[in-house]
Amino acid sequence: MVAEVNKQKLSVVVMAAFLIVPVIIFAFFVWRETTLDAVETGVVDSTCDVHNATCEARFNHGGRLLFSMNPRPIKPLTQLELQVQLSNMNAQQVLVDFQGIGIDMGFYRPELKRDNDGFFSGQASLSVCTLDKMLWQATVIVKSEKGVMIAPFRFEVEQP
Amino acid sequence: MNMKFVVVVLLMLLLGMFLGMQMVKKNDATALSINVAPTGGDFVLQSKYGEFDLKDYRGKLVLIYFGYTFCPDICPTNLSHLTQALNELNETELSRIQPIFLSVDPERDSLDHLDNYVKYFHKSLIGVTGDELTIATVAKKFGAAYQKVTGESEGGYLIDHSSFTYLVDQKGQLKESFPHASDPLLMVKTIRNYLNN
Repeated sequence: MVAEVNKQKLSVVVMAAFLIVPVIIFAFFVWRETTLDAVETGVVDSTCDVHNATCEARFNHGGRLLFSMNPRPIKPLTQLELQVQLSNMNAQQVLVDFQGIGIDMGFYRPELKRDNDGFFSGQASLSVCTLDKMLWQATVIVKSEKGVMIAPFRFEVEQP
Repeated sequence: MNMKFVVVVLLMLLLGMFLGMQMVKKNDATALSINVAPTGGDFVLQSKYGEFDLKDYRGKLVLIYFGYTFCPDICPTNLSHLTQALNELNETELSRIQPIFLSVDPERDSLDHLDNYVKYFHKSLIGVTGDELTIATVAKKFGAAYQKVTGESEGGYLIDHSSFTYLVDQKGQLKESFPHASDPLLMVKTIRNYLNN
């Protein structure tokens, strides 16, 4: 009798495990596939202006990222050449995410191609809005086997 | 069966589902800090020629531009570039593509007006729009953004909007977004890549 009850309990536990485990596995894969969980946000030199210089971000482990956009000063509706140089950092993928600050300008995240070891480049073009001046944030996203590292650079653009 | 045991099992189930939901929720929260890439998706809108259902275009490449006909300069520039790209394609290639101008201004863009406007750029363009909620949902799916700005303009107001042309492949998947005024030849090259694959 006791053995029968234990057997029933065991089968319920197994059934429950069959229900719980897939839920957790499914959620984990959804999370892993889509999340961009920044492991670290680099310290950006706030005095640097991407309008007239290559700007730097430093990371805790000694990694260094240089980011530039040309031609300068940065203007909307112009093809911009983006360059990222990494030191002491490995990257599987480098992207630059552009976001309008205070005004949603849509999703825009061009991927840079690898030129040489540590050098990445690509193109972008900023859209315009009806404001005279608009604040943008270019977030360099570095994906590596250690996770995602980001470096946000803010700059104001005058509308044409 | 022991009642306590059933309660424990049910609690375990709830815990599992709670953990799962928390993980998915975490993803949403992350999306706020670094936007998660939009994935596109099906939609149904209206055109002069009836209902436009993206699902009906499986097997074709669909190019989607969000704009409005009162748009002073950005939309005409983009549509001109798109037209230049379409003009580079031969008739067979064109028959495998459906370009769409999706108006985010249903208040002023009637279906007739929309159709006249898009045909000025290219014969194959279809103008589509819908109710505000549907348009907002579609825009979110594609990562497009827009907002009405009241000001002094001929039409009464302007609309700030993102300016990308989205490429949806033959399986209905969002694959590319061409930024404003992309080089038409580069667009042609990308379009041909998808047509040939």
